[in-house]
Amino acid sequence: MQKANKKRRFGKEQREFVFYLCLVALPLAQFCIFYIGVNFNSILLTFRNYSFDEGYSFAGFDNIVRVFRSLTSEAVLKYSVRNSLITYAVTLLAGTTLALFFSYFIYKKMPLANVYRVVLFLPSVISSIVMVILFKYFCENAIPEIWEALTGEQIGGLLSSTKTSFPTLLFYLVWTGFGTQVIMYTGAMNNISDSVVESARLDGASQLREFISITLPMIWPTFVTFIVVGIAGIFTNQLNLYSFYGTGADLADYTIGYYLYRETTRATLPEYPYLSAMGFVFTLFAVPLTFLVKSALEKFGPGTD
Amino acid sequence: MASKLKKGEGRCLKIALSVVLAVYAFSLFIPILWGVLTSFKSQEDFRLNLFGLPNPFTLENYLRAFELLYRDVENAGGVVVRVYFPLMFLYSFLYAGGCALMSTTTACVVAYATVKFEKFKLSKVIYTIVVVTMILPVIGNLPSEIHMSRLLGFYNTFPGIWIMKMTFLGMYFLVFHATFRGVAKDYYEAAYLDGASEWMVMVKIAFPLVTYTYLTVLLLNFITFWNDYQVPLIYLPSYPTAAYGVFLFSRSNDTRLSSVPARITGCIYMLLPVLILFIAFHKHLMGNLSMGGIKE
Repeated sequence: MQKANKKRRFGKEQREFVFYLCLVALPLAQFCIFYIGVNFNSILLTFRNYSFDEGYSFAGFDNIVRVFRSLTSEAVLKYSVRNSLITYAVTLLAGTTLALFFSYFIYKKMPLANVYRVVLFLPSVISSIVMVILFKYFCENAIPEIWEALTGEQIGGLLSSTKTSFPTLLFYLVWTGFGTQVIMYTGAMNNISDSVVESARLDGASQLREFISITLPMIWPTFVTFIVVGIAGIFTNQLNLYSFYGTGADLADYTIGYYLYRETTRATLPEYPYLSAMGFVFTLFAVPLTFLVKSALEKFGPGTD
Repeated sequence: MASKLKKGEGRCLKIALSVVLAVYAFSLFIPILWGVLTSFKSQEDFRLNLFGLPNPFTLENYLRAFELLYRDVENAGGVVVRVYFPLMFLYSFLYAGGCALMSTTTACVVAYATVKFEKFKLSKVIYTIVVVTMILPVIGNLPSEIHMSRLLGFYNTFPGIWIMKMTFLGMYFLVFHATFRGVAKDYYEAAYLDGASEWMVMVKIAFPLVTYTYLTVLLLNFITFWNDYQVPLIYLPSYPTAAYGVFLFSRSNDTRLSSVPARITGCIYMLLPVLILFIAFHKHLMGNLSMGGIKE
C-alpha cells in the first residue's frame, strides 16, 4: 500500500516536473542564447580579431590595450566619459530630488495631485523620437524668436550652438525623465502605514520632518534600486543624442552610451571585437561600482526604526 | 508659536511645490500644442506666423504625409522597395504587437511556473537570475547580439525579433511573481479535486485571475515597443516601423520634406495611437502594478 502511494506520488511529481519543464524550457533556452550566449560571445570577441581574408584570430589583450590607449588619447572618448559622469550627477541630483518631492506631493494628495500624476507620466508614454523632434523644432525655431521679442537680442538655435547644446540636452533629459520614478515612489509611499504618519503628526512633526524621518526611510529600498540601476546608465545613457542628431552629434556632446551605439550601428565585423572590448572594459568598471554603491547605501542609509 | 511656525513652513512648501509642478506640467504641453498647431500650417504660414493660430487652417500636411513620408529599403532579396507610411504602421503593429505578446506571455508563464512549483530548486535559480540580471550592469554587448542574431538567421525577420524579445528577464517578471503569490492555493486544490490537469489549472484558473495585470503589462510593453526606433533600426532594416520612419524623416535631406510642418505632422500621426491608448487606459496603466509590499 505504502509502496503504491509512493509510486503514485513519484508519478505525480514526475508529471509536475515534466509540465514545469514544458513551461520554462523555451524561455530558459532563450535566456541561455540571448543573455549567457551573447555575453559570452562578447567576451570571446574581446580577445579576437576579424579580417575578411582570414576570419577570426586570437588577439590576446590587444583590443583591451587599444581601448585603454583610446581612453587616454582620443578626445571624443574623454568628452564621452566627462559628459556621462556629468549626466549621471545631474539626473541624480536634479532628477531624483525633484521626482522625490513631486511624488511626496502626489502621495499627500495635494491639490490636483492626480492630474499631475497623469501629466508626469505622459513623457514616458509618448515616443522619445516624437518628443525629441517637437522639442528640437521648438528650441531651434520658437525659442530664438521668443528671446528676440523679449530682449531684442538675436540668438541661434539652442541645439545647434556648441555653447548651449549640452545644457539643453541635460535639461531635456531631466524634463522628460520623471515618469517611472514618480510612479514607483508614489507606489512605495502609499505602502507606508497610516498609523506611523499619524503618530508623527501627533508628535508635532512638520511636513519636512515627516518626509525626512518617515517617508524617505520607508521608501529607501526603492530609492536604492533606482540609484543602483542608474549606475549602468553612466555607461549606457545616450542623452537622446541619436534621436536629436543621428550619427552627427557634436564631439563635445558625446556620452559613452551614444559613442557605443553610434559606432555599433556603423560597424562591420572587423570593428566588433574592439567595440566588444570597450563594453568589456566599461563592464569591469561598472560591476564593482554597482555593488559598492549598493552596499554603501544599504549600510549607511536611514533605518526604519 | 512653534506649531504656527511649522504650519507656515508646511504651507510654504506646499505652495512652492504647487507652483513648480504647475509650471512643469504646463511646460510639457507647450511643444506638443505648438506641434499640433504647426501641423495645420503651410510652410509659408509657419515661416511668417510661428506662434499664432494657423492662417489659413490647412489639412494639406495630413493629406500629403502619406505621400511624402516614405523610405526606400532593400528587402530580403536585395531589391529596393519603397515603404510608405501606412506600411510602416503595419510594421509597427507587427513589431510592437508581436514583441509585447511574446515578452509579456513569457514573463507571465515563467512567473506562474516558479510560484506554483516553488519546490523545484530551478524556481529559486530563475528568480535569482532575474534579480541579479536587473542589478548587474552589462555594457556594450550590442555587437555580439547582432553577430548572434545574424548567425541564427534572426536578423531582419519578424519571427527572429519576436524570439529575441521572448525573455522573462526584467521588472514585469517580479510583478507577475507578486501577483501569482497573492492567489490563494485553494483555487488550485479545488480544481485538482474536480480532476483538472496541470494545464487546465493554469489556463482556466490561474491565468484568468491575473488577466488585469497581464493586460496592463501587455499594454505597457506595446507602448514601449511602439515608441522604440533603435531596435528596428538595427535588427529590422528592411521593415522600417513608424517610429523608425519618423526618425528617418527628421534626418531626411529630401527637399520636399524640408518643411517643418510636414515633419511635425509625421510625429502627430505617430503620437495619436499611443495618446488614444493612454487617454483610454491611463487609470489601468498607472494603477496597481506592484512588486510586493503590503500596507499595514
